[in-house]
Amino acid sequence: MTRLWHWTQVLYLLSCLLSVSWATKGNILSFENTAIVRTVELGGSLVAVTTTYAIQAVTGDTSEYIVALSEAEHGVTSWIEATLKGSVDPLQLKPLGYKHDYAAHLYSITLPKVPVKGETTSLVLETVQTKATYPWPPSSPQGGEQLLKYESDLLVISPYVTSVQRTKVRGPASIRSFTTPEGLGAFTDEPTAVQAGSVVTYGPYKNIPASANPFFAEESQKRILIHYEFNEGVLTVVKLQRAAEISHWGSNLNIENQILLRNTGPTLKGHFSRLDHQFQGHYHSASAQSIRSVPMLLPAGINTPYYYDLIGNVSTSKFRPSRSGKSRTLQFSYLDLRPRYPLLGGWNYSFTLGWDAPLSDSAKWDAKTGRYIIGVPYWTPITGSYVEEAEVKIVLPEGATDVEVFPPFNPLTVNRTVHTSYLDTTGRPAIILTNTRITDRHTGVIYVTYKVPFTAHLKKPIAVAAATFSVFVLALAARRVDPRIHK
Amino acid sequence: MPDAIPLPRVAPETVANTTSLLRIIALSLISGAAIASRLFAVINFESIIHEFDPWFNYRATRVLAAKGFYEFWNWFDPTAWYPLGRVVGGTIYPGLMATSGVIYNILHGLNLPVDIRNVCVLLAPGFSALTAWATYMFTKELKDASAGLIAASFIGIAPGYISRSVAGSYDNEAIAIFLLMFTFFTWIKALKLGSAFFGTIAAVFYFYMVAAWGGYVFITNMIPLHALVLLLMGRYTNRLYVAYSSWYAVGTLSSMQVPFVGFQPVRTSEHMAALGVFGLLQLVAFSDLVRSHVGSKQFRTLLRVALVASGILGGAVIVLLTLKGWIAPWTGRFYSLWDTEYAKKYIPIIASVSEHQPTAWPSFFMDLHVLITIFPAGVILCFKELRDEHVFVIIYAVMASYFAGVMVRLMLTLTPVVCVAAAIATSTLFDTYLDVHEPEDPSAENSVPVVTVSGESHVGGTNVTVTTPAPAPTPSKKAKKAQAQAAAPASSIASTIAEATGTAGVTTRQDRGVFGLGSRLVVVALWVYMLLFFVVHSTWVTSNAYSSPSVVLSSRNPDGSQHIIDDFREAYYWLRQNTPEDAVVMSWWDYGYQIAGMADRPTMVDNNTWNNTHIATVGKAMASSEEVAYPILRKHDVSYVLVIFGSLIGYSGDDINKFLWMIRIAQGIWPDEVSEPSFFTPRGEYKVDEQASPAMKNSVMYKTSYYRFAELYGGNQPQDRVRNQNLPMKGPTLDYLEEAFTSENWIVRIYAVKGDDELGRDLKVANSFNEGKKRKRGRPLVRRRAVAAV
Amino acid sequence: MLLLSLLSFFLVPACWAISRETAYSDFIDAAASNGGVIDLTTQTFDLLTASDREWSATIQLTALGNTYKCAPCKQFEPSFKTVAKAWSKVAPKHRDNHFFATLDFANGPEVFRRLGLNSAPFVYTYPAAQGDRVPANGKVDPIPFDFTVSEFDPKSFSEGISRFTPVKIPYKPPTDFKPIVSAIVAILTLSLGYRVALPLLLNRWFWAILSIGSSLIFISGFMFVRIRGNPYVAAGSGGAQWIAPGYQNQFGMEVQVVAFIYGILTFSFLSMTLFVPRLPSKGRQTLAVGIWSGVTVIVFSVLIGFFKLKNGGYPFRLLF
Repeated sequence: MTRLWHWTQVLYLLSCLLSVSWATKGNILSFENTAIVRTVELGGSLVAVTTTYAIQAVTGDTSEYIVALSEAEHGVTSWIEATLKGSVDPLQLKPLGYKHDYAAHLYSITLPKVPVKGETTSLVLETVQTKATYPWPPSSPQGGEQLLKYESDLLVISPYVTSVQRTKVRGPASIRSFTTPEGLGAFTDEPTAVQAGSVVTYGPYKNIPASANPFFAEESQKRILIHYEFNEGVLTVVKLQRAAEISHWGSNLNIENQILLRNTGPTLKGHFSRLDHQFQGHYHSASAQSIRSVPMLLPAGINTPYYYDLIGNVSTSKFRPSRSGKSRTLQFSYLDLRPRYPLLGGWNYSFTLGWDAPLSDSAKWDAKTGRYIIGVPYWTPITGSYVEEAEVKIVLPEGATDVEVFPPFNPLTVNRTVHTSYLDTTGRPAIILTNTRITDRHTGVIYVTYKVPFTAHLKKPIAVAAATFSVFVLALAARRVDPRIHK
Repeated sequence: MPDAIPLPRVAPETVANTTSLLRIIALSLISGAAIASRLFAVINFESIIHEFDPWFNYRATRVLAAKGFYEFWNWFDPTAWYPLGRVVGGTIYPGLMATSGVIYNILHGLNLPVDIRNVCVLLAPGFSALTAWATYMFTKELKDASAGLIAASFIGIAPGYISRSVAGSYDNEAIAIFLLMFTFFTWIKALKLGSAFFGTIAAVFYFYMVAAWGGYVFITNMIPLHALVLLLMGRYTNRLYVAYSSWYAVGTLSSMQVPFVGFQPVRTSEHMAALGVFGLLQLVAFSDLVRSHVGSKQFRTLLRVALVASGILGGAVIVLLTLKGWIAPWTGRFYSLWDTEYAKKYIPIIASVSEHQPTAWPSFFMDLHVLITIFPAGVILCFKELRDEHVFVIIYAVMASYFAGVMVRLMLTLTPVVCVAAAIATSTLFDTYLDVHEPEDPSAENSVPVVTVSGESHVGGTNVTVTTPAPAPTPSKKAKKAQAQAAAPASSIASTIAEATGTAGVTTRQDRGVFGLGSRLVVVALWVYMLLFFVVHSTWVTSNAYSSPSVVLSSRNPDGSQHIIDDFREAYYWLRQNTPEDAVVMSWWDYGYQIAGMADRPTMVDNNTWNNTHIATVGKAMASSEEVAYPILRKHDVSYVLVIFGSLIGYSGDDINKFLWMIRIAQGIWPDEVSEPSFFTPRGEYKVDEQASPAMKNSVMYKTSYYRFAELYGGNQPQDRVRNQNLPMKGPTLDYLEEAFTSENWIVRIYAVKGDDELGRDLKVANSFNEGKKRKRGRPLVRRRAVAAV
Repeated sequence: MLLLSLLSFFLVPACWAISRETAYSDFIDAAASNGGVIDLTTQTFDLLTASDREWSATIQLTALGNTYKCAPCKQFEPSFKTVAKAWSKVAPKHRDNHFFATLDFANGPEVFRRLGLNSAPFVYTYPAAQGDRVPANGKVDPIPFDFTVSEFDPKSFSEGISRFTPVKIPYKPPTDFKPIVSAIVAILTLSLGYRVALPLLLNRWFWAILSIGSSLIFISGFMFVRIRGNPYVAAGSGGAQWIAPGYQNQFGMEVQVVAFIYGILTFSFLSMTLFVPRLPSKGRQTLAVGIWSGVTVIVFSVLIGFFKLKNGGYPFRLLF
């Protein structure tokens, strides 16, 4: 059995070597994984996966390390970042797209330097998965428990040979059930899945050959399925439209978010009973699936936050502004956002949340180039939720010229339009960035640089003055003219 | 001749400019006050549409702004009056929506992207400023500019008008009062000058009024009445003929362009008076013409006879037509103004509306305060110098006070005339007591020729109109010159100037006046104080009584801070976001417009109560037992039933309190199936507690209101805070409906109508079968109740 | 023996039949004799409302005895009588299928007890329980006449009852001569006192008084009292009270009081405006001004106080 295995393996490796299918310089012999540890932090609508690769340079001729994500994994992954263990600044990560003979999506990580032969480094690959979990049972009565299922591959695949790897799955609360994979005799001889508290550990699995290939995916890859309890709201922002409007006259940055929120936990079975809801609130037995309020951390130093929906102001919220002072950039303004009604499983709530912030906090004028630089945060995360489709619109002051945009990560589309607002004559240049499946890691800042000639600043006052003056002239004329036919 | 106080000498043109400038400033300040005092609602709550009807107007305006006028014109709304639908374009007065639509488009044309909601919310305050201006113009025609200013300030803050024009009460009255006053102003102007031009303007504004408010009938009858009275007083002039004819012809033709009015102006009795007077005027004019040419006495008598005869004939014809049915008799709402019993008996819906109730004196005083005490004085002063326009005011005063007495909402038409009359009175008082001249000593009395000079003074910046009593001797050249320079002063300023400029104005003055400073100070101080009191009163009334949008309720926390109760919007928004687009909601008609506006769902009945039967259907469904109601609900594919329930926090405007009207209206259609007495206890009391009649306890309304309410008290005695009664310990149960949503304070309760049972059983049977399981599921709840009881 | 018993067996129902026949004819006679109204006792009531009745009946349950102090009973009695009378004019073939009867509490307290009535008057209509006049919906139990919707006046009553009678009750309200008479009188007086009337009609102050008077009455809530039919004063505990409690309510007397107050204020205002300046001497003017200002202030404070009574939450006051 094993013998046969080795033969096939060897054949396959040869074929790989012969076929120069590799996009980059290195090849599957240039590294090997001494150890891979994957930790899966189960959550509501977000699942954070941290994979630590302890790698050893075999040939020492390249600094390109390749990580592979299987089709399924890649489908749910919406954020990926690689760092060296112990450091914070991310390494360069280049997606190579889907490669058929690897049956995986490949990413090439560029190490800081070309490692010498035999040198070991440990890489940390962080991914955030969305839509990786689903409620099961799909609907539960009011006050019922909230159970989710998470499904994933058992083994971390890699184009390199792996000597040992294990997977830890940590649930937020109790874990109801998990699959114990069978038929892994090739890699292990112990019981392969052990539960300790709310942690399930798979592995260790030893000396795994280069696993990023269709053959392995068929033969040895296993799916694992974990059924666990989740005691916080499962929130999804179905649609986010953020508009940031810059005003130099008011030295004000207005940010307005139109948000459609949905409780994507198990849908409510039967109907909502206020009585039970009140009792649950009363006895602190509130179940996770009825979301009464959504805590939000708004930027520091903002003023006049407003929160309304299609039929007017929503008066049921608490806002605590950040203490102003030197260290205010560190703190946040806290908003306890209460929907009009508790958000039960499957219910929607759409609203508008906006605020004004002093422009000086987020914009500065570069005297040398004579350009303004402004930073607009991509979005203000709602804890434990992600955005399915996001649209960020940045409205620059009227008459702004040669505009350049530097988004923190690649948006799907970038469009430029003209936005006419109060007392505009020519309209204001605006940039619209769209994106899908934004997680709480996508909190980068969009930097925009632009020039505003001095005359453009004067546009409004001149226009207003002209209008007023013309009114006076008209009045003057009207007063003088005498329409009577015969005096 | 002595002065009470010496005056500085100023050049007349300086005075002229100063006065006009002052007048402009005063008017703008008044407008500011008028607008500001209507913003309490926005400040205390938010910029929101109030009450019920405004929500429809707002919705219609949104359609107008979004789709343009023609779309709006033939807008058929399938979601209202489900399943009948409603032809909106033809069943509304589009003036209001058109107005705000135009404003909206202009603003957007100027790149001022104001939200349509704010346009609607602030329309009423804006127009109140215009109303103040129109009242100023009107009163100026009656007395003079100073009286006009006073009248403007009165109408600006009078609660009687504010009550229907605070920010957010986006209703027809918001613009109608301005149109009313301006039409009257132009009518008076036309009558004075005998100008067809002003007559036409009056007609145009009359048309606008017709397009804006059903109350246009008031104008339609006021102006003819005025003309008629003038005829009877033998005051026929060509000016009257020109003014009336131009107004009637143009006005009527244009008013028929409004689809909702159509041919009413020639078909219904409300409009017959105008037509009759028109005919009469033609006859009189003709006879006048003839008389001016033919001299013979017999012919005149003959003519007079013929005149009377034809007049009677015309009346007879109209009566005949009415009897034959060619002319529709008076419509219900209008008729109920005369025969006050009518509505109560035959149109309970009209009688059920609170604003159609008669007015008790406290609300008169509440709305007009000190004005109502001096408004008769103003009318008397109108009698004193009885020019044509004064006749108008007198008639207006009498009619309006009758109507205001019959219907609360018509207080609105009384307020302007009260303000005008009171202003005339007040300004006369101030003229008398602020005039610095002291009369000659008694010895030299009645030596000076008396020439009453009225109208605006020259220094007022407008032309002089001198009317002298018929046989009065034409004053000497000198006197004329004197008048031309400075006629009897309009305001104290003007008078001082007239004196200061040293003209012979003295000679034209009447030899009466006030001696000394003392009396002057006392009276002026007293009335200034009274007016200040009025201002304080108005502010208080406005802020406390008239500035709450009944959509959002507010209560006071123990610490005195304001606590907002927002149940309506909570429930409506829930409906909007979490129910299918086409889910029909059944509720009592009061909430129809709000549901359509805020929840955006089809409704069975709404505040446009055009179909009595449909409303009665809802009433029947509410009043009868579940078994009876269920087929009705299914037949109208209702999927949600919405009831308003105040017992938890003591909100008295809830459905149980309106229930009797539902029963009455249902009984009107189905006397055998719904009978009012069966909802009373044998002792004839209206009760919801243990002794409630079985019909009451089984009615859908009762069940849906109190469903599971008793459990909230966890074993203690449940209490109805509105009716102050103890409820049964065991609440009602539901078989054909199930609770779908209940707002935070239980004010709004929404029930889903169950579908057919899977096994095709009757739902009641199915329920009783499921009982077993239900009880098991219910147990934890029971335990909680026990805890609560401890 | 046997034969007898058999005979009796046959006879019993016969007697019943006979008794019912007699009762029926009795009712007809009673109605005819007493202007269409049958005066009932408990027994006759049971007969009239027997479960096998082929006729329908409208029965007034009332308490006219002075001991009961039932004002509405006395109020309603005449209209019932008139309508019954009107019914008795109908052709016999219709008339004898529907009876109007009245049962006084004195004559049949049991009936009241049985029906669980502890107030009066009540009017129940018993539809026919047998024969061809049984209502379509088959409901034969008594239908109460609803006084809450329609009033005690005979017109609405006859309309209400006509739903149950074989043919519509031919009730015609008596032509009201009052307006006609008064009109005639007015015309006569005018034509006779032409000399007197004409100057009056031509005098503006006559009209002034007229219009001011009417509008004063109207703004004092006259129409409210008339429409709601409120009493002049309420016979409350401890003597008659003339101020109706509550903001949206008032009694007849309040109209007069308020109108009077308004009148005084108006008059004092007018005298300040018009009459004072005519006074030739300074002293008299000062005096007059003092008086009228005083009157204004005092009366207005009274008005405010009155208003506070009606509207508890009103915060302001002038003198007291």
